Amino acid sequence: MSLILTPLVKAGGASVPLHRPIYLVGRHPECDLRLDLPNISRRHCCFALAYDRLVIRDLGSRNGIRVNGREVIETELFRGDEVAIGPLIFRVEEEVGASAPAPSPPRPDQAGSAPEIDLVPLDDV
Amino acid sequence: MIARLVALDDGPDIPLDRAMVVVGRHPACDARLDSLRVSRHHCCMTHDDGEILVRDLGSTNGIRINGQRVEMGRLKPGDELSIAHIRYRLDDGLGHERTVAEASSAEVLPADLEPESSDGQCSPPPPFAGRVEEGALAAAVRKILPSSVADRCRIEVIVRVDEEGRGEPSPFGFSSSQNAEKAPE
Repeated sequence: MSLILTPLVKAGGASVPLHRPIYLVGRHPECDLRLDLPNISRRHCCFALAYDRLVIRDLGSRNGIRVNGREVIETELFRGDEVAIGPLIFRVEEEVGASAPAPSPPRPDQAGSAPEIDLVPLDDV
Repeated sequence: MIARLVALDDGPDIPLDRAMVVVGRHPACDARLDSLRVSRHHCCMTHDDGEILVRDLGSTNGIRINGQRVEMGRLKPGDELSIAHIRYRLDDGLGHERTVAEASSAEVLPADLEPESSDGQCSPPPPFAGRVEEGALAAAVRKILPSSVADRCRIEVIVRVDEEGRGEPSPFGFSSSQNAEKAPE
C-alpha cells in the first residue's frame, strides 16, 4: 500500500508520495516536505509509516493540523481522509499504478500564477 | 516483545509501543523528559524494517547514536541513543532470551560460526556434540515441539548477534540435528 497526499487547492503542487518511514513537514529547510508559508510552523507535523499504518502527528505547531475538519494531535490516516496542515488541505489517496516513486519536478512556469503553493518533495537526505 | 529504550541514566525507560513515538519536554509528547536540555519536541521514532528510525526534530542539543551526532539514524538492538545528555540502549524485547542463550552457548558459538572450515568437507557431527548441555532456550524449544519429534532430536539454539547490521536479516537461527545421534538418555 502506497499512499500519497494530493493537494486540494487550485493549481496546487504535485502529489506527495509518502514512501519514507518518517516524513517531516514544515517551513524549515530540513523538512522532507517544505511548506514555506507563514502559517506553517518550522516543524509543523510529521507522518510516520509503520506496519502499513500511516499516522500523522502534530509537533506543537502554532496553527495545528486537522483531519476531516477535526483538530488532532495524532491520528491514523486512511484513504480518503482530508488533512489540513495550516491553510493547506490534502487528501490521502492511494498511489495509482506506478510502483516507481517518481515525484514530478517543481514547475517554475506555475509559480507565477499560484505563488503561494510550491510543494517541493525533497529527495533523499 | 515490545522494543524499548532502556535508560542508562536516571529516569524511566521509553517503550516503543506505538507507530510513532515523540520524545521531548512538551506535555503532548509520548515520552516526556523533564530536563531543560531536552527540547520541547526533541526527536521522533518509528519502526522500520525491524529497526528503529530516529529523527531529530530540530532540537538544540541533538541526538547521538553510539556517540555520533546524527540528524536521522537507525537503531539496532544494543545501540546506544543519547537524547541530549540522557542515554538509552535499544532493547528489542528479546533481551532476556538472548542473555540466557549467550550464557549457555558462549563456548559453542565460535566453533559453530565456521561449520565448513579447513578440516574436511563431510566432517562428523560437531565436536561439541557430546559435551554441551542443552540450554534453557533449547529446553523451551523442546517444549513446544511435538513430543514425537522432541524425543528423537538434539536441539541446539544458535544465537548470532549481527554486528555488521545489514548482512543477515534474522539474528536468530535454530538448528536441530535430527537423527544425528540418539537422544541422550
